[in-house]
Amino acid sequence: MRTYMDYVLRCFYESTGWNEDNIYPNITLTSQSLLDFKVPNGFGLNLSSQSSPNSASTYNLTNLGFVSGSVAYLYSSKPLCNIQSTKSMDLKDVVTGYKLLTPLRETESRLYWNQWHGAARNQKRDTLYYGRMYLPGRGLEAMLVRRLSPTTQLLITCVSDSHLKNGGTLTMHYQRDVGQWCNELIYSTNEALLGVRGMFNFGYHRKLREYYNASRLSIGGELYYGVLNKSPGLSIAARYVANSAYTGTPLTLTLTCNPLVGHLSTAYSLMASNSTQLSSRFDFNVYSYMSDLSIGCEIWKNKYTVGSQSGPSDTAPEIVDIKSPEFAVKRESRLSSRQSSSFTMSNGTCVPEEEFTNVLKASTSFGSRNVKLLWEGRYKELLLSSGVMVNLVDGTPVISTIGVEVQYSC
Amino acid sequence: MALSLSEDTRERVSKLLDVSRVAVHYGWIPFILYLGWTQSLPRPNLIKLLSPFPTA
Repeated sequence: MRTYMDYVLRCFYESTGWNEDNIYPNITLTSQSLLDFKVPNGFGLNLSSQSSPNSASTYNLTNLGFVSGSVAYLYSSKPLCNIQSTKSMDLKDVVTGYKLLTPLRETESRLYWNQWHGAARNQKRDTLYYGRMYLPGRGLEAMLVRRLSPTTQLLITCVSDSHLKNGGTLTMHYQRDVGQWCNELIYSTNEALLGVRGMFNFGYHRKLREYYNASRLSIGGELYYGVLNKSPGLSIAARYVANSAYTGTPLTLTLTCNPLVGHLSTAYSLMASNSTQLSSRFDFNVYSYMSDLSIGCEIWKNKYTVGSQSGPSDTAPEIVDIKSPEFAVKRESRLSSRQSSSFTMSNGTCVPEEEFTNVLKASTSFGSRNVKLLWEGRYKELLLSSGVMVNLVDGTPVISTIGVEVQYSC
Repeated sequence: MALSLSEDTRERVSKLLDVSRVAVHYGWIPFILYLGWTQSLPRPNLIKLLSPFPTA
């Protein structure tokens, strides 16, 4: 489950028009969410609130045999009015799962980027500041996100702790997203690392005309070089997203390759229904011939559908006209609609949105011989996340991780 | 021509960097709180800004 501050950061990206799906590190997000999800360890409690439209705070308490915690504060120069409390937030906004990609759109013109107050020009260079201090260790995590232009963004992250080498690490990302392609320049003080990432979307101009066409092919790569340790790094990846020709269900295929270590990975993820998503991944190393097969699924449970207050019925879901005012109100209330659970059809109708109350995730890996189970859901005004990871070494099941996490925000 | 620094200058620069690092480490969160208090409209209550508890 995403933390409250991750959720706020996504709201910032959304309100400033930044497309997270179009950057290279997120190319395998769907399969990672379904297969590599994190199981909570021990007991964790998160209390968060938005004290003003521009600022938010979080207190975190964790018990892993010893009690530790953190305090986090955030300030955004742009008022974030799309943040919901845990009572009303859409579960799909805080639980990572099958990622329905944001449609590609044309970048905003510099003309509209400027805001005029009388004769004074004020550019919308929105900035987000974030800081988190761990207690009792007093380690600091800091982040600064600044929009520089309609297509560029500067992201600076920092970890400062006296126990780390050189007192910590500072990493700078200069990101440029023009829709058809996105590139990123990286510098990190850790080993003076220099890096470049890029991703290209094929058929971009055709996609802008054909909104109903959900297929998209993206190819990207990254190149790193550590100046101090003289160590290079390289990876390339491709992602194909489409709807099945027969059933119309969304599917995602990814291929990643790291030529230096000889690692190949292919993943196939499928949104079988609005509440069921499946994924499988095959990893293979061409030098050692080691391989691994991972499979995972997630099953969402809904409370009711729009227009029917009773529980989930066996009858066919009601079709809602997207031009109706009721749908517009519902749609407006869900400002974080990028992972919307609805499917908009080309004929102007929409399969109804569902309010999900909980999700059950399961994944297993034949190579590492473990099984992960995770349940995430809402109880009254709390978001709960509980899970277990079982290792099957020598045929004996051993619980390696078990935990519960509670989130509350107002 | 390579720039050569004396031993004293190197020590001063190193000390200055250490002091700046400590200042940023302990000053970053108060700086965020200062921005949140002065730049937000309407200006929030200071206790509400510091604490995430709903009763505050």
